[in-house]
Amino acid sequence: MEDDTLRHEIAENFDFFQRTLKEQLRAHAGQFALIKDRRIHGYFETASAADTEGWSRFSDKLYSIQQVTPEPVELGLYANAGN
Amino acid sequence: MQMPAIEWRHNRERLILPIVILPGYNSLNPTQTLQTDGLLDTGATGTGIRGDLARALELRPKGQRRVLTANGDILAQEYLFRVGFVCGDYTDPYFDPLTQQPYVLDKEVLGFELGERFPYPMLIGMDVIAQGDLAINRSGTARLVIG
Repeated sequence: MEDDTLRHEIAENFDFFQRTLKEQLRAHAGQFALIKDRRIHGYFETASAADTEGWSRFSDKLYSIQQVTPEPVELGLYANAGN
Repeated sequence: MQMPAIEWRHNRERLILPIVILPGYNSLNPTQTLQTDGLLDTGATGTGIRGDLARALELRPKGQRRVLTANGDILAQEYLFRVGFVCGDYTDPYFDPLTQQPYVLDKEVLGFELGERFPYPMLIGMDVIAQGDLAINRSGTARLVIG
């Protein structure tokens, strides 16, 4: 149940993140956004720093981290291996 | 000072290494470890972890990421975890990796979830490989220097 709540929060935040990505890229390309309730709570240089902030700031642990990049992960040859 | 290194034999097709995975620092079980095999892929821009392994380590998803596959873009969950290597000379018949402490990279990895049909539990991409020096030799050995 807790897992479902977290996944829902992440999906909602990702939807918000994608819709505002173009705007965020202007000043925060490559950084990591800490997102909760479809709102950005800061940008950080590393995913770890964003996670540490989210972990200590939100007692319900319902937040997400997104790197500000338009690029998908590429799998090289193993793109064909069934992801 | 000697840098931590792994030397092993490859099969001239793939680079597969024993990998140690630990949850991220901000987790309920940060000291839990799990040893598995990882495929080193210099064609992959990121590192992936198969869902069964993520569940075994009780990793909490931290976000989502678009992943480019042969069937187009998919959305995958992302997890924050640490990657370690059991250093030593695997070509030495007397080397026993079970007696070695893993060398765990300082930097946490934000890795995406691999599909259940992915043939390896871990895919080590350039975000991790580029933290070390990788050499592949025609003699059939490979060497990864980290740290």
